[in-house]
Amino acid sequence: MKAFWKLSLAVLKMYLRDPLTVALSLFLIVFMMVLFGLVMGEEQFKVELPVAVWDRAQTPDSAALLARLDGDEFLVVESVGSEEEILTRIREAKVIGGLVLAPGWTPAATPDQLRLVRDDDANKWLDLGFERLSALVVATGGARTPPWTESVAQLSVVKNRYIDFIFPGILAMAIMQVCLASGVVLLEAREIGVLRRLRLTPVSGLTIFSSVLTGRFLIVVLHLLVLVAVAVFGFGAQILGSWLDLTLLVLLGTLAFMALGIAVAMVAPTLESASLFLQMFSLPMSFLCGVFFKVDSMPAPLEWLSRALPLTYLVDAFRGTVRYGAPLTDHGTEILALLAWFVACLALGARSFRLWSRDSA
Amino acid sequence: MINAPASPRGETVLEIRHLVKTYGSHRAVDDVSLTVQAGEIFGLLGPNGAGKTTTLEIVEGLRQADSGSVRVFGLDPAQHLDAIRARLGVSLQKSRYWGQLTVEETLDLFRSFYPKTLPVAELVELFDLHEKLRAPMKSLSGGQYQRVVLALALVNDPDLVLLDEPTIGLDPQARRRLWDVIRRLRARGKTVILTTHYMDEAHALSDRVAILHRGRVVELGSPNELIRAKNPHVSVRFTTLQPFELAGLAAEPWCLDARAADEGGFQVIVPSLREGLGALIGWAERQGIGLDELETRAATLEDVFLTYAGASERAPVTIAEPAGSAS
Repeated sequence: MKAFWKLSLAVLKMYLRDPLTVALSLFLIVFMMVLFGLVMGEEQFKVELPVAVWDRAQTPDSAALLARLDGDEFLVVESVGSEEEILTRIREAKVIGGLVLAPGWTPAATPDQLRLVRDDDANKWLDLGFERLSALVVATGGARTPPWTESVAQLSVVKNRYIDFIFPGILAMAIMQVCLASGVVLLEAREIGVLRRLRLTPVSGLTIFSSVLTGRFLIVVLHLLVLVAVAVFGFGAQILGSWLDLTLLVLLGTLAFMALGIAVAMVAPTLESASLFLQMFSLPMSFLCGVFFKVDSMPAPLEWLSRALPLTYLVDAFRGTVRYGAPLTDHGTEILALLAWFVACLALGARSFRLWSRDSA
Repeated sequence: MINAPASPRGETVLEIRHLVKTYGSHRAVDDVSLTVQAGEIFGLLGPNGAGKTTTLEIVEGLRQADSGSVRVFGLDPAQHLDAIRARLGVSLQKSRYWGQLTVEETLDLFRSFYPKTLPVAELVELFDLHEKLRAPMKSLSGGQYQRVVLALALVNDPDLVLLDEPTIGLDPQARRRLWDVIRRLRARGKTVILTTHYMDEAHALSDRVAILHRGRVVELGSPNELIRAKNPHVSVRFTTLQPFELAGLAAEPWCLDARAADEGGFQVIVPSLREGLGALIGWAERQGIGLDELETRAATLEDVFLTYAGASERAPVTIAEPAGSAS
């Protein structure tokens, strides 16, 4: 056990002693997050004002109102089937608020037949959206302003700035980057010959292997702590999911990407080619897997490609957990996909690892 | 602080019997038998590909023998690997350590692998590492690095130390310094098995050497025994002030061989220094030839070694070459 921890810490120390690597792997990713966070600001909602509408009237009149609202330059109508759904959408910052049309609603109805659901603590600029909404409803037939009764909910609405969008994705990307490099660390240990020297001590191959990976995992934790600190204290980003769920996701992502990194390193003939092979994975994944923009906003072929890559699933799971506080049970697909990658890479990596460590003799 | 040797002097530490290892159709080790006694420095010599590395790898438990037996401390490496490795110290020629770790951290790391260890302070003392303790491994000079490598081979206070080319690439001063350290290991009762391509080193350090050639032990004994058995003659190189007839010199009864030396001048082989040198000087006086730049040289371990290197790499060398032409 002593050997295990000494070796794990040695791997961590070595990483920290290499300022260039630290700079490249940590600083770069923090820098990207900060840069995008500052530059992109809050632009997302300024172009679209999505509103959830629960139409209980279901008359031609109500349909006409909905069509009219949706036809507006800024408003986007999203039909929902319950008030609970409206609240959820507000909490997830998918809509600025919701309208409930009572069963007997008509264009001339009194305000008590139309209800606006909104968050108590909403941003000031959302009021502009409600004013626009109100003007449209009034213009449709009602004479009174405001044309509705308001029900104000106390919701912890997720923030929806660009930084809030990329923050969970960046966490996933950091896990990918550090874990993929684990294979290179093992390869390097073989190439300089220290692996062979270690094998001549009474320490087992499994201990060497697992402590190198544990050391790399400590680096993952370090990266995540720095990123979370910058996002939370620097930008006021929120983490809504439970820490347990997050920890489990971090572990799952670590397993999947370490297995991938090792499998690639085992297949690569040399240290240099391994670095190149890994870039072939990490570079496209950084751009294609939904870290910086939504996967479904890409052209179909790219979307298919991204659905085949493991980072997409880790990003999705992280975004759901960090941003919306979704429980892990909501991420069954993502978890299965990551497990599948883990098992496949493990099968490939483990087989070659045996051959490989024998060669290192 | 270093304990008395666990294996009393004279006890067999390593016993190899009829060891065979083939790679495909190539017999890397072909019926090798050796014993190494406690407290001796044993030189394992041979040209590249002679089977030294494979033999050591089987001893270290990194490879399995095809047939034959190996016993380290009386134990079979195939079965008692951990027990053997706990008492084994190794320095590998091609192994580098992690350059980012300091000397102290590396020593500390390797100490954590063993149940029984020497204190860092003692290793530092033994290998004179005081000044470099906090330095990253990658910042060390060749000599410093090799001293750390030896210190790492000793962290577990081993009974048997395997040193693979411990002084390769070092300047002469650093080599001498390392020789002193290796001799100190013997003085502390360690058994040392040394592989080297430097024959002066093998001669200076080894109590006994084995020369491996094409997977077989072709010579085994103390360096001096091997030299005497192989080539007891002395070579004398000289230049003359006047020209003379080489055939006349070669016809002298004490002259075993006479030829123009590669480096200029002449070289004769005489049976012994006492007999041959006097005869040569007498001959020169009788001929009225003035001798200049006279240089004598007895055969060395290198000459013995080159007999085998020559068999595979160049024409046989039966006559000692002047020192300095060694490759």
